[in-house]
Amino acid sequence: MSEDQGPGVRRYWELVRQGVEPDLPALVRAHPEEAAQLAGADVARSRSETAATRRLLWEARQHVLAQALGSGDTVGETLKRQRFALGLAPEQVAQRARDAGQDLLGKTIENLESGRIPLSNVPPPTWKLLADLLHVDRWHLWALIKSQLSSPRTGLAFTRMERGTKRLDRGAFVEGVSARGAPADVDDYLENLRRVLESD
Amino acid sequence: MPRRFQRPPEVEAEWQRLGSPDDEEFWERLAHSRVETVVAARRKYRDRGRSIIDRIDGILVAKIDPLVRAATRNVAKDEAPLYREDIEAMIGEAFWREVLTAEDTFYEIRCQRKLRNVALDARRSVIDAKARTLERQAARIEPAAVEDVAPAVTVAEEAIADPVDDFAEVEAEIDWYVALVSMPDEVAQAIDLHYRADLKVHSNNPNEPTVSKILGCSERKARDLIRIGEELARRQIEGLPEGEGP
Repeated sequence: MSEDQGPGVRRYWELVRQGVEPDLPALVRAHPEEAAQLAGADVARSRSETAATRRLLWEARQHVLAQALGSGDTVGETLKRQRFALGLAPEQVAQRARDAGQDLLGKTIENLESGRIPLSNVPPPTWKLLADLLHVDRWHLWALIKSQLSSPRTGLAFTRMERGTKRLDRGAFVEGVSARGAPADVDDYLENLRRVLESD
Repeated sequence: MPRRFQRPPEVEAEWQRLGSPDDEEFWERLAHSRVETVVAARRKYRDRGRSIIDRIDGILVAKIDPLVRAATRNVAKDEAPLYREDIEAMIGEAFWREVLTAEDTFYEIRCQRKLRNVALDARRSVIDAKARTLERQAARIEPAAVEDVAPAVTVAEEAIADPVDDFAEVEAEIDWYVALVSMPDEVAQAIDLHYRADLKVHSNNPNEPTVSKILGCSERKARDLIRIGEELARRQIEGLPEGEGP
């Protein structure tokens, strides 16, 4: 939230954080000079919530595919399949990434596809670029990465437990994660990746 | 026993002209089809390879995202954002489980109605869990302090009652908030000001804020932006292809 927001927009976000649906007409009546900014905040919130829903839907899909059908995909397989579908060689993908400002080699692409590079060693902006270059939905890629970085007992259940325990008892959450063996930095990495993928 | 339903004529017509995933036109048609048609395609082509199902699922996610949000907002508009996320996650899981593994065809007939029923179930589960958690917390607290927690449990239990169940009315209205996502910035802002903030497009009263004044444009331009937004929203809600709008 920027500091130059007026009182109307500040109130809008305050209500959203509290889980209360802002009464937009009342806010606009109370702060007519901020009407355009209030509409902008409302549109921004709608878009941000869309990103969150799509993320949840791709996570749910990955969970059902992996847990119920036993046919979950991997990040490497997906990237390779998309690269083939677009008729690109690893070096061509790397060249496009370099053109976009990311220092990647064709060999790096191959290593990513074959799973020889730990996923959490890849900077989040690189995932975002690869998703866009290879036409993989960002949240599809997110769900694959999250699924692979979490243990088989985690996935969607992990997401639910994380949210539930964070709400109630942060200590219990940390304890729960270490009990399942998921390193705490995976959580940070995923949070960082989520922010990067959500940005334009 | 799986329930079998007959597709509505408009869905059946879409399905008949869809064609094969080997043709690029199939994808163009599918992207502009109703969500029910996309679900049917997902089931029919489930064994056609990962590239095809990933591509269909990408279209499906884009189609059901606004429906899931609308269903969640309908059943849990007064809940905290985290609970709404829980409900959305549960709807998502129930949706995929049924579409990918079950035979029930109702998602191919009236997807939005089905999602809303699933949303009601998910809401009950989430609110039940919330009430149980509060009860456990209350039980752990020393007897002297239980009195302070008890009202919260009561509130949670009261909240279990079903919310709005007038689906017909809800389905008839266009959810402008959800539709804003697919609109260009200027159009989204005009729609937001008109339908969400309840402002008139234009007014002769110089002191009344209106869409045209706030956007700094003519009345005609403001009306054009709103008309474009309405058309985009209807296409999104009804799944109408280009050129078939009102």
